[in-house]
Amino acid sequence: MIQFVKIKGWLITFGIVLILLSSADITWGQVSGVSVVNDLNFGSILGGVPKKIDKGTPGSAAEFLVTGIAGSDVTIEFTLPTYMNDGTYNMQMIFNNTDCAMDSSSSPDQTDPDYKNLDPWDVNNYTIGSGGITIWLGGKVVPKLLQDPGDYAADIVVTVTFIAR
Amino acid sequence: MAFKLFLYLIALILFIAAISYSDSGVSASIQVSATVVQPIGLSSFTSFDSSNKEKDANFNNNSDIQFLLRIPSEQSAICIIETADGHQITYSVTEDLLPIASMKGKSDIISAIKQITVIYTEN
Repeated sequence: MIQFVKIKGWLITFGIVLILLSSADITWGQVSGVSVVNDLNFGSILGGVPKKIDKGTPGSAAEFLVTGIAGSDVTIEFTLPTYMNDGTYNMQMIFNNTDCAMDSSSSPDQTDPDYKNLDPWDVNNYTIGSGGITIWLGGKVVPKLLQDPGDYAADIVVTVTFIAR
Repeated sequence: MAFKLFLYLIALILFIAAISYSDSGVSASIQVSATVVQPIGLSSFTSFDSSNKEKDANFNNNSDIQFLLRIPSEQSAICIIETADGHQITYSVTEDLLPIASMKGKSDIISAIKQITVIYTEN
């Protein structure tokens, strides 16, 4: 019985401590959301002709916005596909180690961001600025010569996690 | 005893919830998309056979023609566009992969294309 009380007390104590710490994050800094501004769109492509979308291409490169309290440190991690699919066939995709860029200024500039050549395969650490963090991502698609015509798609998942100080 | 068990469960839920909350991140899913289209006439060129040095493609719909030539690195090609009135427009193609040559907008050519011939030659 004594052991049961101890376990219960330990759980309650640590649970309350963790909740307080989590609540404290709200005042110290925290990421509050990530929203998609623009999807990565390659448009029309032809079999056998690779097509690259540069991260600095407005309207075609992926763009998303991380919001939160300025000064908060976050990690940004992508889950990248290696192919797109049309329901039946795959089409190869390539993301190289300079395909990502970020800008946390109040007026983000896609053509001249704060950080120009980031590796989307890495976990990137960044600090939320006054305008949040705007992130751009480019990529390359490599259709086969006889790639079946159709609409191909895939998902890129980005996860932003607050780093407690 | 039931009440203590209830308290125990509440404590456990609080603990798990606290851990989950403090470690959680936010995520979003970006859609990446592309549409693969088949250029008009491409099928006439794709079954390339090195023993057959000439390929012809005939077009029924000349409103918007794009064509793609993939040429083996040891070969080059000459592309001849023949118009209905007998004129010939010749392109010399030396790149391994010719970027899409679009004739859209060149209505004076498009309206009169009769045939496109590609002749492959060894370098």
